[in-house]
Amino acid sequence: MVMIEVTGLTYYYPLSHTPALKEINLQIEAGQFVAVIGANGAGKSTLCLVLSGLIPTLFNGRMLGNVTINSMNTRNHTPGEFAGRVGLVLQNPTNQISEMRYTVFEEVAFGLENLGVSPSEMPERIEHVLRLTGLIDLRDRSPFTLSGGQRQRLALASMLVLDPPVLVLDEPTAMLDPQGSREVFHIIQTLTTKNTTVVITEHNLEWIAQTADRVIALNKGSIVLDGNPEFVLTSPLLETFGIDYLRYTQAARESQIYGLWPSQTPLPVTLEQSVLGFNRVSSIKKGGG
Amino acid sequence: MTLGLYTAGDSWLHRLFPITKLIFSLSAIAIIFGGPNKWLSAILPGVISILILWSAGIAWRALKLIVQLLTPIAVILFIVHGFFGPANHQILMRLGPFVLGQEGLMYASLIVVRLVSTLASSLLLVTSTHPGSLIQALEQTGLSRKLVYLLGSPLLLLPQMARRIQTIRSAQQSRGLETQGNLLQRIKALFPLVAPLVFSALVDVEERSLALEVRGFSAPTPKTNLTEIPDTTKQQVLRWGMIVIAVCFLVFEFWRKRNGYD
Amino acid sequence: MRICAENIHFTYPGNVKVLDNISVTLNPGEKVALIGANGSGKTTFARHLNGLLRPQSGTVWVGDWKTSEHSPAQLAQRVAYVFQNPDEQLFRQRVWDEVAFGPQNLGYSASQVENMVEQALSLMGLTNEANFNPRDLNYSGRKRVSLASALAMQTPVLIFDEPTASLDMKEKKQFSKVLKTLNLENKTTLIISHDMDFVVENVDRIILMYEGKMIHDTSTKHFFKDKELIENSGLVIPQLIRLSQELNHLDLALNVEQFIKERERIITTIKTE
Repeated sequence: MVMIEVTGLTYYYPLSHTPALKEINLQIEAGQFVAVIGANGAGKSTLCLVLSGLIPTLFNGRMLGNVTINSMNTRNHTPGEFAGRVGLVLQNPTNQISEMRYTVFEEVAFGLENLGVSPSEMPERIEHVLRLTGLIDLRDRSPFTLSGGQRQRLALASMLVLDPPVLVLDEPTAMLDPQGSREVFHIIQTLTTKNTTVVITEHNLEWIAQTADRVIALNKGSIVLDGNPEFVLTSPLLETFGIDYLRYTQAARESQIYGLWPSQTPLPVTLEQSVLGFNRVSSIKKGGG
Repeated sequence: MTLGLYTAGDSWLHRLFPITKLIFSLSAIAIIFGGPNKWLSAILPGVISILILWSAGIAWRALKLIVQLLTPIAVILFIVHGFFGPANHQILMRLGPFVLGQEGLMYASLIVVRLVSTLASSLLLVTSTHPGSLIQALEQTGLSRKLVYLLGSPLLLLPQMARRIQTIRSAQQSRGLETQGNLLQRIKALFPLVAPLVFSALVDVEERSLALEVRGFSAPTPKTNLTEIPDTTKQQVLRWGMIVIAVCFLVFEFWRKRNGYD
Repeated sequence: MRICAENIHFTYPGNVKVLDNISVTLNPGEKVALIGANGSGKTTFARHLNGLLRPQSGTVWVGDWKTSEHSPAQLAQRVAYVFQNPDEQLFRQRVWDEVAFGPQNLGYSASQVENMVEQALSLMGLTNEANFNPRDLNYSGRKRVSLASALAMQTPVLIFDEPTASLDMKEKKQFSKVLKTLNLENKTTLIISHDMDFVVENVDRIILMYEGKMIHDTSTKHFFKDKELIENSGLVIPQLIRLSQELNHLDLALNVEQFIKERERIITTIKTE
């Protein structure tokens, strides 16, 4: 089942003459885990806003083409109507906490209250996501006293409690330390086992290589590469789009020139693949003398 | 834990329905500035507020804040009105070329007393009520959530603002900006401190509004509440009582003035 | 210029000990990274080095100055410090003027300021954006303006707090070049960063902090020998180091070039066996 369908999308921000996104055609299946990569200014964040239904209705820019999310055309529905159907997690955890509530528990309830969920149904749903995000012991704390990583998990919990079939994440770990990032990655990974459709922009390519079903590379507002992580992250074109290779890939790419990487083996995107490849060269050399 | 001015606690005052405290503060302020008998109207609400704060065990913090905030203002008022008050007639003291007048001194005292009372009755609300509870209570009264957020968000963002001001000051000092020193230097330092505060707040507002949208802030559904902050009939009666008293005072004073009793 | 911190202790009000007996010397021409989890005390320590914080006991020397005897604004002549979030410092209408703010504060003449600004803009690749309003640039653009603002001050010591956060590949490469230029000018640079892949390729020495203590201070090459220590401090081991370790390299590679050299060495030994 197609969850998100984008046809002929071009988008201009207000007052801008260069499109932020250009002629995008895209279909995302339900339950797919899609990573979007690209240099700064390539249009990643704009795509996130489009795929969460906030563009075009919340912004005054000009949009050509059509976007449907879960069979709802984003031109005909307000962000209010998409709430609960699409979740969005942004970079800065602090800005995603409403601060309108006293405790972590109540903060998570805020979205449910807005969507008119009955109060008797709330505690069970909230406890479930607090457990999922490892925040259950902090349920009575003030969100104001949490660390950055904990706050970002709270922002995630506040989205997940609405149980959206689509979750869009725009660089959710950009402001976190390695420990905080690991915790957030871990939670997102558990979503892949459910049927949630996930779209994420993220700088950590190693994690993307391990987790994503599909990687889309953007350059100057257009989709330039689209495929599985092995295909996109090893593409010889990646460099020209201002996107870094994984160090594993880069090491193998340059080793190839010196015959230090087996010629028939595709370039690696994980540690395991690299180790296998490099050891094969050693054993060939050993065997061949 | 302190969030802005809020001091955590479990006194009877803390447990009151926030709207009751809000109505108290508003009625008190109305009487302070518009009640009959200027002095009594100015003093009484302040005294009552401080007594209430004292019984809730948070009077010291409030008094400290009042002194800190009002001392400089009081000094200026006494000097300006005491020495230069236009109504000065009765001379109390001469200081070189300056003359201290009784009328000006009394006028300054009245303003200071009014300010103390106003602050005391507002602190009664602010120090004993978590901003979150006040907001939730306002929502419970049926006000639109957007209006409540608009009213409440400055209060909520205060601690974050305070932290940010500190960071901006450090960042600009690291670029050689002298923030201490004479008045001129301090005024010159103001713009590099205020402009980033405004700009970063604007950047945040955009992200905040997106985050609120995806959490259904403007969803076209009726809203519910996880918990209701408890209100009682007694408090309802009390609130109406306070409103009636304040209105009576104002009307009486209005009638007195119109009939030329002043 | 040399920076020398001697037995620094620092406790925030409310008895949270943040720095516990820290002693560090940073020498001219050194590129140093300060790493550790959030809350380990990195920022608190770094803010002692330009006088934003003063040690409660111990001394910090910046050249022949004690930080306790100078204001942060004075110390700005010797130490530049770039904060993480550019939006918490940019305030002028033109990139050029923004970058000029530091040198102007330090009392340089108009022609000197012009020179310093032009140099810093060209180092950060912002020459074409000189007349832009910083607010019209995207986040990484604003970040580069804040970096240029510090470079323009031409101080002998520079401290960067998460300089590569939100920069993309090209922008990181550019910043890496800037660090090399500073190094050639014999300047002391300290980078606070979580970006380990960037750190290993760009610094000579790494200082690791954990719960207010300095638990490791050594050359980048030696740093990763103690795998357990790094993992226990909540850090990520850079990809090339992990790969070298898995392949049992004797020489842990800090960059691809070193990695290839080691591969070649291994293959030749195999052949000769």
